[in-house]
Amino acid sequence: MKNVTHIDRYVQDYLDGELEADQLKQVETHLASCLQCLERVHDMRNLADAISTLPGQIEPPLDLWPDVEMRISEVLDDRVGSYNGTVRGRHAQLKSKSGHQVRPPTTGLPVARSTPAEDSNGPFISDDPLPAKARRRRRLRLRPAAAAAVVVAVFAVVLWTVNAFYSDSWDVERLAGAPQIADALLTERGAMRAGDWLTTDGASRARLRAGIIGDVEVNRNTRLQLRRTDLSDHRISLESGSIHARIWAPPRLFIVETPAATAVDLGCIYSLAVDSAGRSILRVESGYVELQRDGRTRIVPAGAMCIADSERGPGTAFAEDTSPRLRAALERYDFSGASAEDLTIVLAEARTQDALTLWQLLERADRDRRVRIYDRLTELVDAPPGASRNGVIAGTSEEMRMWRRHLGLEALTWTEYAFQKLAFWRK
Amino acid sequence: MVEETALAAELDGSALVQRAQEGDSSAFEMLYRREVGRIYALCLRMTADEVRAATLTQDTFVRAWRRLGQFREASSFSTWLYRIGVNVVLTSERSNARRRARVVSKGDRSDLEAATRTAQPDVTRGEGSRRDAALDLEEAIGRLPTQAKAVLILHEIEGYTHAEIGEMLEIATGTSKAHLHRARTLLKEMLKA
Repeated sequence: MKNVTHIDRYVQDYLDGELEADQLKQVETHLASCLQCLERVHDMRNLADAISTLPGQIEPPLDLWPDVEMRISEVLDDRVGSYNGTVRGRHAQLKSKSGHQVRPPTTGLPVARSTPAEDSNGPFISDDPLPAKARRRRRLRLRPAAAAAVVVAVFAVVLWTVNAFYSDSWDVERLAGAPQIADALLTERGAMRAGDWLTTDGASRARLRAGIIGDVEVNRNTRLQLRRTDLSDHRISLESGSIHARIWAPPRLFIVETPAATAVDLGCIYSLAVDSAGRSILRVESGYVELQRDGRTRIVPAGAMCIADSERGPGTAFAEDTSPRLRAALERYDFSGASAEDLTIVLAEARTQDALTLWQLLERADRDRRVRIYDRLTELVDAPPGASRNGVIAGTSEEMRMWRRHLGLEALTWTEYAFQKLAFWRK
Repeated sequence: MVEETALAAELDGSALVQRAQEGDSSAFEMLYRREVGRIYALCLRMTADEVRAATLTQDTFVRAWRRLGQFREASSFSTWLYRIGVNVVLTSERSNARRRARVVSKGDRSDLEAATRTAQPDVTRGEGSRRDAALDLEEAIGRLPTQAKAVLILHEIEGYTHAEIGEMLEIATGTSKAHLHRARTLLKEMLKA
């Protein structure tokens, strides 16, 4: 049975120096005659001493600032109080409002694509679509004038689209502070022509809008130039800072040049930053972006990031939620010598969601490393039917293509994009 | 980088905070560089998970950036930021009851081990056992109940008083003391086992 005269309840205050004088005297008197309590005090003091030697600071294994910088640059001035956890939540709202199809952030995985009905959170196709189609056909047959009107309407839409894609200037809207176009301060709205520079300082932000191509939010401390805008090429040069782009034009129409690489839009929403070291940091939220330089090309799907170095161009894409250890090893592998040790760390740390990373490493590895990477990859992801181990290790183009498609890394061509959109609307 | 370092040395904390409040992200980066070690240590100890700790560290700084307008110099920026970090971590832990109740696995321990190895200077021969003891201690802290762990870290490592902890965690001073008592007792039992 517990001896109630012991001083258990006072030990903590005694160690913390929080006892009143009379209590302190009683405790010390007790300790002078009770080995059990004395031992307990010693144990607790040793424990406190041990805890006090633990480091108060632990450096993260990876510099988190580029990610923080990108996220804070997207925070709006007037959102204090409506914060809902992370900036990603805001993007989710934007995406759902704009009605864009949003891929889940499971990078590089052969995920089942959601149906339009699932995307819209409700019945997308009517209960009985075939009779409706039949009725439409019948109406068209019965009314040739209506068919003619459709032709005229289509022509008008084409004309409008051409006009929308072809604009010799972009609209600029002030979102905060006083952005500058060339040397002029932007008060509310303005326009940029090819060759113009837009600069935001630490307190200003702006939004660019190019017809129906999409819009680009220009974050604080950013400097960019509109290089070109015509039917086939809308191109800006991001010198420093960061942007957030939402593009609904067909693939390869919107291009952002940075000191380290060129980002080619493949129909998506993404953020792109240029840090003080001249590196580009790309984070894709929906769709795909192609990061390229000097013949080196990386497809970066939704939920993935990619860093481009000013000397070596784009590194390997990686899942946004990949482990810091994998990310640090990958960065060394990409930009500091491609050592076997770092490859070992990457392989050991890889999860199913990192199949994207392994595949991109495999594509540029020598034969020995390709074997190691392939074997690890197939531990995480099933091989596509018909693709053999030898074929991939030998780099057979058809089998490599099967794998890319399997992992969702095959960029869409114009034709595929058009058919995909057509199939979507026909549903 | 040299310029930035020199600039940081010139500016005291309040000047940096003022510049950051005016929207200067480079000033906020300097504040980040000063504070990230403390915030990451807090997040890592509370979660025993390197990936979550990195995410929560980011969340803390993003939230601080959003709330900079509310910061008044009644407390130091460091304390204010740490308070945000505590809230971010506790909110995250509460929203994940399964994680909150879980026991640190070997994998978690490896995160703590790696971090502790990095944070501590290389040990010479004969000091290995001390490092092992520190790792055991880190692991045991990771296994504490959330509130007890939070109070222990705030009191024993960060040096906050029970009154400050009570204000930070929105609990009574006596409750803070009770959590600390429980944390110490549990730690002692775990380290004996």
